[in-house]
Amino acid sequence: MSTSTTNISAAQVKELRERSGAPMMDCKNALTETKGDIEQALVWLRKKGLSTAAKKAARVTSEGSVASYIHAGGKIGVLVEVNCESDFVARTEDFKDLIKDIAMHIAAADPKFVRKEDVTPEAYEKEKDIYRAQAAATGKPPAVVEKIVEGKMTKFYEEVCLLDQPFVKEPGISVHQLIASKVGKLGENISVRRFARFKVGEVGETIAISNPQQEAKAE
Amino acid sequence: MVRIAAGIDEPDDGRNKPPVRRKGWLAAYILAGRVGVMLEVHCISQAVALSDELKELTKDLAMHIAATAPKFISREDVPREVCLRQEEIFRREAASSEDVAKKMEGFLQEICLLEQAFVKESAITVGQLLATRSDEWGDDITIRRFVRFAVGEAETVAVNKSQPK
Repeated sequence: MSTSTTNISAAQVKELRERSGAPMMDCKNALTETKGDIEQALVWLRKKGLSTAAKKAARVTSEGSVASYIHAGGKIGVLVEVNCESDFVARTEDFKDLIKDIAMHIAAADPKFVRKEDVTPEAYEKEKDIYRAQAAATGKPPAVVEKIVEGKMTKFYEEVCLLDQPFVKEPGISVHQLIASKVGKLGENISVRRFARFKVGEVGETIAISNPQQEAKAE
Repeated sequence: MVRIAAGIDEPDDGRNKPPVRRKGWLAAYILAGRVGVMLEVHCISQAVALSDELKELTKDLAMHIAATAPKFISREDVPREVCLRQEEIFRREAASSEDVAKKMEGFLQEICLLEQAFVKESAITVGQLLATRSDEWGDDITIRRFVRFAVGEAETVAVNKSQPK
């Protein structure tokens, strides 16, 4: 063991554990890696959460929970289903908080799809054509036009896909990262199955359905 | 677990004759964390829109939908293909065309919210409940749309197509 280990006090581990919710050993390792810097350790844990989430991404999520959020102003309502692997995790406060946060986020940020993969080719092409026409109108060479279009399309996903949107309560992270941090903490794969968003008086409603499981089976 | 939103004027889309500004209400109900329903109920008068009675009715309707899982709001909302497919199934099972008609009637009563027996008062249908309340309150209570999610089941999204907007 390196000498830096001795610099990590129990109080630091406790603080990091309270702030991140990560397992005790992960907190200790994070502090060791970052030489006791709590802020750095939080970043380290978040990265670890992402890699844990990636490892668990293929696991089947058939349990879960449904939550609703009716905006205080009264005109917007959201119903969302988030899945996990076991009923046990579905009952935890962490999971309930997550699903509540996601419902509130959807009410505020108005996404149209769950994931990039759920964007219909028609919707995608339509947007792309619009951007291409705009870029072409500037008279730039085709290669440059394509670059501009690609750049715009990255933002398109950020704007319409729930997982790619910056989380409204913490814009520094995406909704995907928010979920990944919970995956790291709860040790189970978590996926957003579907959501509905109604706005009173608006004729259309958003209904987004995602089914990663079917794709996983097909592959 | 029931939250009810304040009434909001619905914008007039110009097709209304006479133009009636309907008030919309959103309510959601979650059953045991596994079944969720969100619905939008409309009425005409502001007094009704702000009443506790309407909140109570909306809550009852959300609970009803969570329990009975209707697929459509009214008979008019059922697509023709769905009726034809079901008729075909019944035709194979039943001997006479009267039997088919009777079974179709039962099928529609089962899948249409307004025709279902109200869970809290099974002697009346949901449609009759709305009509009774509308009379009592001197209003016109309608169901605009609802969505129902249940973990592990396909979702239901129902929009009332015949309702005046």
